[in-house]
Amino acid sequence: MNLVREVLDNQLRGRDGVKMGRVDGIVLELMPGAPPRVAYIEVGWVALARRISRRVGRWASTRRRQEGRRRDAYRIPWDRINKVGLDVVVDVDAERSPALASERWVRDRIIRRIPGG
Amino acid sequence: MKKALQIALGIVTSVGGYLEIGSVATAVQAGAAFRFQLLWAIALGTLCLIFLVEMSGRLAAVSHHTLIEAVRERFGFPFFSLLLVVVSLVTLAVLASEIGGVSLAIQMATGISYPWWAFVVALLVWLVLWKGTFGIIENGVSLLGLVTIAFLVGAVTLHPSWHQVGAGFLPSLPKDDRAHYWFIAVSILGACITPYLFIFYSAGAVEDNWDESYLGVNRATAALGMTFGGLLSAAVLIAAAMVFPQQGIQIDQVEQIPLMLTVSLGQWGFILFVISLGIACLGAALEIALALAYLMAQGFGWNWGEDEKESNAARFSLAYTVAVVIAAVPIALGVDPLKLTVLTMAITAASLPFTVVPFLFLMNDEEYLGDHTNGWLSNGVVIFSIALAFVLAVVSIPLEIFGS
Amino acid sequence: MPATEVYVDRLLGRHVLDQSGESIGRIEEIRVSGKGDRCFVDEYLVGRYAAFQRVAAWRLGRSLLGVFGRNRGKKGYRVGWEKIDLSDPERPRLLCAREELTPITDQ
Repeated sequence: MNLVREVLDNQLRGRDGVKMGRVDGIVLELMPGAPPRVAYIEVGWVALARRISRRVGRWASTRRRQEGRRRDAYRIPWDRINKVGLDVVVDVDAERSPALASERWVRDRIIRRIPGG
Repeated sequence: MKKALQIALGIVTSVGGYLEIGSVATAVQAGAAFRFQLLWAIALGTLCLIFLVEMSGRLAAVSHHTLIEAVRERFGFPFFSLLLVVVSLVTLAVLASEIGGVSLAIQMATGISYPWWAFVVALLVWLVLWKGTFGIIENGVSLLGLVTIAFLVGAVTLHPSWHQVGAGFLPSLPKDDRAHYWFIAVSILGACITPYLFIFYSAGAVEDNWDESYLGVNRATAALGMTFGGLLSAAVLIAAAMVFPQQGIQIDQVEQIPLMLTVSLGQWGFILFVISLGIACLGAALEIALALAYLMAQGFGWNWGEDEKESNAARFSLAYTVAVVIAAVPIALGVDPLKLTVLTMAITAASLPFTVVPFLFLMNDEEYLGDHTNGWLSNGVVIFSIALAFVLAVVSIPLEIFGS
Repeated sequence: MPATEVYVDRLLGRHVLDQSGESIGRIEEIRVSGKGDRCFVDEYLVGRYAAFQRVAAWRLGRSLLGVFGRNRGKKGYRVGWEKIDLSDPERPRLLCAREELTPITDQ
């Protein structure tokens, strides 16, 4: 499998098929004497910021730590991936996952407060 | 039978949805300043548009990916973020122009000047998006847009010399004012080939669940729909060319523009002009606001769809809401919609390589398109037009702005 | 010894330096394969051809390179995971001689 071509930046869906962002980053784990292991995929704006430049990435990471978050981005372990095809489907309940935190915030704080929303 | 109906509907909607402030303003300027001499630019722009629209429909039908989704997946986030910034800025400016167009139409009807109408128009656009479905926007508004055929009637009843009209399809240089000539040529190309059109079209094909059986429908719709649409643009240019130089005026007074229909059609011409301009720009504003929301949602992987309940696609709905509000601001502040439009269209032409070059790569990608990758003709026509538009834009925009 | 983490996106586009400190090309793609629930890196694709392969513009890219006369010389390599030292992800280093690498060929 080609990690960059087939996984990175592809559409991410939860187990119920709900769209939950894109694969914004991939984390490898290095161990001496063993092939690097694909450990996690990451979703989140800090992972994206890191890809624009190191400085933007560091700034984004600092901001997020100031908000009291432990990690830069939401991580999904590789063994939770159910399928890699057109989309990457993971064994996660999208509606409750941190990946959709901003979607929920916009829905509850803004859209539902507008008549007809 | 069902397919024939779809083709007919597709053509009707593309004709009804073709004209907008960009094509009207640039064609009026071209006709008024250079008579029929710039008709070739409309023909070239339309030809390129036919290929690009066909390509975006084919990509969606075969791969079930929209253009934006495919760009992010193939070229990665760093490139996508660049495209996002460039296309958002250009498209917001086009949206502002369309809101300005509707506001101008209301000004002509009521006499109250356009800045007052900007937020009223924005609210109307937003309400249709909020309450409407994709079908209403795609079909309903475009059917109303058929009123723009009035321009064709207007052009024919002015009895232009068809011999001279035909000559305009062959490029030729004017004796003086060449910098302005090229600037208007670029604006026409930019008005024909706006990126929002293929973003909207490919998202629409996915919203309508197209598959490979739609390839024929897609080809026919693109070819015939855009040809008839381009014909309307040409009609605007011809009508403007017939009316304005003869009366010896320059188009800087908005009130003079409806003359192109009133000279031949009288009071009805005025009413038809105002309705055509208003509906055409309103329809375009709806499509552009949606295209901006598609751009964000598809690029970041949010749930999207005009048919989704707003709360199921919250960030998508927020995106078009914010876009409409931002775009209304310059018009409310009194920026001249016509000047804004012509400049925006030229800048659009300059920005085309950002969208079209990655698009061409995708259209040659067998993993996305299987046996349906581009042939040499599609590649050739698109590369030629985009290169020409880009070079002309880079040369003529500074000349127009800083004067020669 | 704890595992070190490396971001794939940080590796992408990095020049791989050979033993004389000269670049053999940039990392453009990472091939992996699964073993049960786990997934490991097999090889890295390095160089200009690898980039074209990633965006699947194989034919288009090759003819462009041909036009600009850069079709000869280094095109790209497939480099096994054990042949690159990633201890500094910003400066991946090649652990063998360049001649031992498998060049990427047209197919």
